[in-house]
Amino acid sequence: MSDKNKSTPETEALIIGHFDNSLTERQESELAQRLATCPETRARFRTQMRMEGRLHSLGRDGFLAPAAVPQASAADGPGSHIEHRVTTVAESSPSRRIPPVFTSWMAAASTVLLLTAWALWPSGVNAASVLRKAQLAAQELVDRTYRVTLSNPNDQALEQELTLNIRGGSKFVIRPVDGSYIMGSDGSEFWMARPDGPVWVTSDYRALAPALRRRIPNQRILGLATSPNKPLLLDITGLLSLIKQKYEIELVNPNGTPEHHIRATLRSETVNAPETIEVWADADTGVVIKAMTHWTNQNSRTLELLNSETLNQNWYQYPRHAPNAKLRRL
Amino acid sequence: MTESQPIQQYLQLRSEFMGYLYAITRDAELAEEVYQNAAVVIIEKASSDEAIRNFRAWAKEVVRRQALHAIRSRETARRHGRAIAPELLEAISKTFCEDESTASIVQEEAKAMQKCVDELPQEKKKLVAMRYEHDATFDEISSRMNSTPAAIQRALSRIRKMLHKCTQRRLALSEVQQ
Repeated sequence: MSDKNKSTPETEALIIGHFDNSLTERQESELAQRLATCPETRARFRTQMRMEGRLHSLGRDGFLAPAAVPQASAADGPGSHIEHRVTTVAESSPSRRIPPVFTSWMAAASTVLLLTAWALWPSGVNAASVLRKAQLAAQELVDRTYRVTLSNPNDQALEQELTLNIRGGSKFVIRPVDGSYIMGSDGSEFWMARPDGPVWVTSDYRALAPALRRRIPNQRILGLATSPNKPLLLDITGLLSLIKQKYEIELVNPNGTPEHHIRATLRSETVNAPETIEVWADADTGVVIKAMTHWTNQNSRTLELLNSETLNQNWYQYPRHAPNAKLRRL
Repeated sequence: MTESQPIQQYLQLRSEFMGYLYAITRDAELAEEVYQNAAVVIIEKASSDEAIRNFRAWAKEVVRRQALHAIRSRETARRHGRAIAPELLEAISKTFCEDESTASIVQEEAKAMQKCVDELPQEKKKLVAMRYEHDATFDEISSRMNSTPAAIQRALSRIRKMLHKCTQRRLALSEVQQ
């Protein structure tokens, strides 16, 4: 379909200005009037609207980044690499996703650079260095088990306790203590099952989220996701990545303590993002021992490290937890 | 469009719906959230026995209602300084809902645009990526590109016009070839 109807340059400027959010009230009125009365303007607006939608979709899927430009460098600090769901991001390039062109050799190269950068990091401790070290530790392919507590002082009914196993930045298994469901990811697929029910599997969390909302009795679990564009805030990597992108950080405790405590405060209002995040990390290893997130509605979530015992290799795959369940792909 | 599951049909229409949602929210994050909320409605409706005659038209209405509800409840005016003028909101929604382009036409347009994006010079593509992949503001882009916000806005405006012209040219060419 070619756009045979010609719109004037003024109309085109109004339409593009609208998408840039740069129109004055008077110009918005003018655009509204043209849309209401002029078929050509409506046709032009539709094509622009579809184009904007596609550009956002291409961006979301990582198809806009120039292929020859790696998204990470040594200056990015630890954790700006590898697995598809990891969103640790360079300060100079706040990407939410790792583009598909990020091949394994690039990942390996960046890992070496990152490790070098870490080794050469100045010995003076500050909030940024604690965060970087924690990000690196969170990337390690080590199983860690956390107790997750959801609470709100105004509503005890919302209290919930869950157990979370994580390995690196992409594998996790989470289940509430009442065993009403279990959800996880093996690094490539997300899955969720309830006792005696099917197991829902998808490679795209955005497809799973709507299904979960209907099927999980306690929907608060979905509140842990900041947005469908971001990974679940169930894993430490996602949490640290979010801090780096959107929060001002300060080191709360002085040097020389066994744990480093950083407090992160949201720079500007963001949908579903916690107002503050506090992280306690082991001073030697950088491993996050405890993390607390607080929302404006007084909801809070606490993650406390229980142990670092090695789990079965298949632990993060759904057959391990729902061996006889019917498979339903989304 | 084939008669696939409603949620699959919905996912196939993603770009079209996101375009509308972005047009009325001008907030990629909120647009995504509304898109997800509408997906919940789609799934719930799909589970019922009620027949949906024209999925695309019906889904558009679901998306429109969810969007208007989100805009009201989220007080976007507070986040963006000024809310979109109500008459413009109405006009955009009407433009979106009355769009009668067929799915195949929309797909052709998408393919043509994809080729045009692929052909963009690296520098221009980088700008587009910053804006649409990283949701960077003009201020943020300008500080990284050693430029001014106004210059970045003009550059992106030119790129959009280029993409539009290129897409239309490709579509016209394919019409001639057919």
